Amino acid sequence: MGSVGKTGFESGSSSLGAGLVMHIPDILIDSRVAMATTVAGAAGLAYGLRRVERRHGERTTSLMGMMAAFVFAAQMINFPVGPGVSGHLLGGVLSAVILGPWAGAVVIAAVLIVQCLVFQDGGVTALGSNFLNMGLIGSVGGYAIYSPIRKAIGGAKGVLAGSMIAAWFSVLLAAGAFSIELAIGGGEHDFIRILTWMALVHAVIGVGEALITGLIVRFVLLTRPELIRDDEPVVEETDAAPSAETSGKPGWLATLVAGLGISLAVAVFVSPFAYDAPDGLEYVGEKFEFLPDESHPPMIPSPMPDYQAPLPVSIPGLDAAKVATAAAGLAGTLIVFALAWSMSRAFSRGAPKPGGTAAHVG
Amino acid sequence: MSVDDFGSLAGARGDGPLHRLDARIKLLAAVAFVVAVAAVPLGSWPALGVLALILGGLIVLSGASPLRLLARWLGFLLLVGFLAALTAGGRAAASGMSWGMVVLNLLAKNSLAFLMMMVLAEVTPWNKLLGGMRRLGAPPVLIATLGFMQRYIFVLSDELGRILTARRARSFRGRGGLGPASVSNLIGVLLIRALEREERVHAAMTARGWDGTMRPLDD
Amino acid sequence: MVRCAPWTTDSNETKRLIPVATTDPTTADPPAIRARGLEYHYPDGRHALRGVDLEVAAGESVALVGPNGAGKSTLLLHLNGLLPGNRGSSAVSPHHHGAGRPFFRPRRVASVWIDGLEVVDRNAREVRRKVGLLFQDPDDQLFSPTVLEDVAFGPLNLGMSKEEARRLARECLKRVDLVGAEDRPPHHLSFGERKRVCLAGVLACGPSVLALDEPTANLDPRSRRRFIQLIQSLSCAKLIATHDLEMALEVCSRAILLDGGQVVADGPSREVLGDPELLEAHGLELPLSLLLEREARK
Repeated sequence: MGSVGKTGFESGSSSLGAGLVMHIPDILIDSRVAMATTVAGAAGLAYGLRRVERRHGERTTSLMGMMAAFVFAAQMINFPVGPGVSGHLLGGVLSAVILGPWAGAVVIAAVLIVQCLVFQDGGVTALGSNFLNMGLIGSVGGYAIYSPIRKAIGGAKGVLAGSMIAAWFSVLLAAGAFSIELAIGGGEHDFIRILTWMALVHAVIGVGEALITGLIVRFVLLTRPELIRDDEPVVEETDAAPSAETSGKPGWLATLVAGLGISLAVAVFVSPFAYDAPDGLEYVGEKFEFLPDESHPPMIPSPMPDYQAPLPVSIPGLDAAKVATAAAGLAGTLIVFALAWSMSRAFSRGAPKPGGTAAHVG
Repeated sequence: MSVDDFGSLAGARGDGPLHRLDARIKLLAAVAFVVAVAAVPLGSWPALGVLALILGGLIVLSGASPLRLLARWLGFLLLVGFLAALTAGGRAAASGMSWGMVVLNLLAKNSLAFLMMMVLAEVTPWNKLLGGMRRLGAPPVLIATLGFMQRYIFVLSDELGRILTARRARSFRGRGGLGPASVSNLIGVLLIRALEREERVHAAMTARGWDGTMRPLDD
Repeated sequence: MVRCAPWTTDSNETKRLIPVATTDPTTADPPAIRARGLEYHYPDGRHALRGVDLEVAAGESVALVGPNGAGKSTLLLHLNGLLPGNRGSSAVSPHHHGAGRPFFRPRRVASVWIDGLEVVDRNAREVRRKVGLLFQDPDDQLFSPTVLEDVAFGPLNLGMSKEEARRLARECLKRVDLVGAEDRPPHHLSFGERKRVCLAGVLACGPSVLALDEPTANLDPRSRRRFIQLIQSLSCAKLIATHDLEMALEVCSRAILLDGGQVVADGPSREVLGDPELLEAHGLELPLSLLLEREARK
């Protein structure tokens, strides 16, 4: 305990920067949304608990508890992703890849509850929506994206690429859900602005999550590949040709769900353009109470909607915002795919032998 | 926030009237307070003032240092402020209040809720809180998981400290060679050790008769 | 059959809590531990135990010595049925002694008997109760939020009421000299204290056999002395896997030398542990006290 304090690990959410774990605080979402998400979240958690108990029996407590303790500890580690910028693991997709989708959700729920009640990180009335975003969408949704990609590519390569891509898209999906929850009620008008900001912030978080998740999964694949949850084993039992993993084509339902998830995630970046209908733009422009000013270079819309006083900050241009958001989405996706490709080159489509190349770790 | 905080908060040392109260009452009261704060209409400052007074009284009773509470609250202020600024526009338009007023209102309400939850954590040790949740009907498996988690957060963070020290002892660059690949290896090692430990712990639980049924000692 | 303390105390109350089986002096007691032809393969195929035969009588203390990898811990895990466990699990480490999911696999032929009871699936509950296994790392065994809850874990699972379990737990903590630690979280205790809590937790189940895995490892001299005294005060059968050969000499009348999964020697401690050629051939060394004796005799 003391040793961690001395080495200076910090909470993800109390440090600024792109690596924030954005837990929704109390009050900021509409009460009706809070109630609805609390009910939905509770139902989802109850279902997840049942699924996990059915699979693991009396081992549920120790397995979920230990994984949750790990995610909690790992979230506190500062992950340098660039000069002055650090990230933190979220862990939804990682937990799902190791233990399965519903186990991942339960693990995230446990972490969220501890963070909320002990550290006031995330509102108690927002537990439902936070779990919805990070547990259900993040873990279960993430797994839904990971599984078909893994099966389609096969082997360790498939695990690595699948988990990275799933991490990226699940963060975007969570961002979309986050935006909807924030915008409903008081601010339908705010939706574009909120979505733009959330999308941009989560684009950075998402790339970080994909990278961190990928590096950890890669480590596990190199040292203890049998720990990855297997409906189809990553590790071969014999020296036979790796037909088991690559022959299983992903089922149509799994592909459909994955495709849907990815489309929705992409929509997060593209939907500002959906408001491009002329009357739509005028309507929005009126609500934002500004007029586009051609003499100033367009910038990302400020969080404040109605700057009327002459300030050094330029009046935001909505067109530029949409372009920036879409660009971030495109860039992020390209980066993640590139990272996934380069990192998985080390693995063949066939599976590594158990025990891996690194005999001694730590 | 570090694991040290978890230790002190989870222990909730001290002994006052609030400390001795049943955990169920404290939890329900805290949540009710937060719901009440949320229910107060936007711009209704008198109502918030009353709630603030109640909160103030509870802070005094809890024996917590107000400075420490404030310091922690300030840490979250930026994030909350940012989100409040984002969401204030529509509400301002709908209610006719100025944008700045809405943000202030949201910040004030959030602060009340936040501080209330802090007081709850201050006067309720984690185990008692779990016991209260269990008696209020939370799923036993979830409660058992949360209890288990707390125990092993400390074990894992000690483990983490050891891994980190060993890593630093072998690196000669300034910040201990903690680039992204290094850190991910660190987390990877921790993950594997955690899972291996879980196997042994489960064996130890089974050896003493564990069959999945939670049998708590407190009532 | 002789049960470990606190059942053997004179307190009538304690005796009421768990019925102590009466032993008929006219018939021979089955040995506390009996293994015949015990074989085990790790999931990766390596041969861990190659037909081990051993017996430990009621009340006897036997040391299990041997180099690392000899199979000592693996052997202990067979005593209460944690091994052989179930193969084919995905979360399995081929290198770790806790391989496989730790629950019983039905066996047609038992290789281990505890107090005459076969260590097979249908006897799981009874066997687990009879065998108190003390793991090497107390953090593997101390999994409850507070000390009292952890010691009460076994009794509660055995069906005791909360009050009984609490009372018994306090007794056991008194037995290991840890009164006052009841409400403390485990990470506030020292390593030695945690080991003693684990022992208390094991004693609380009322075992008739104690299997100890490296009980004195990593203890400072004072804690070690304390722990040795504690072990010596317990009257049940003990099988102690250890590298601490001095402790083995002190505590155990008999020593079994295990190497490569086979019993290499089995005899009185002073004989087995006093044979320098034998010890060195199996990765061990003459304990200092015996070495000094030899030097003195020259």
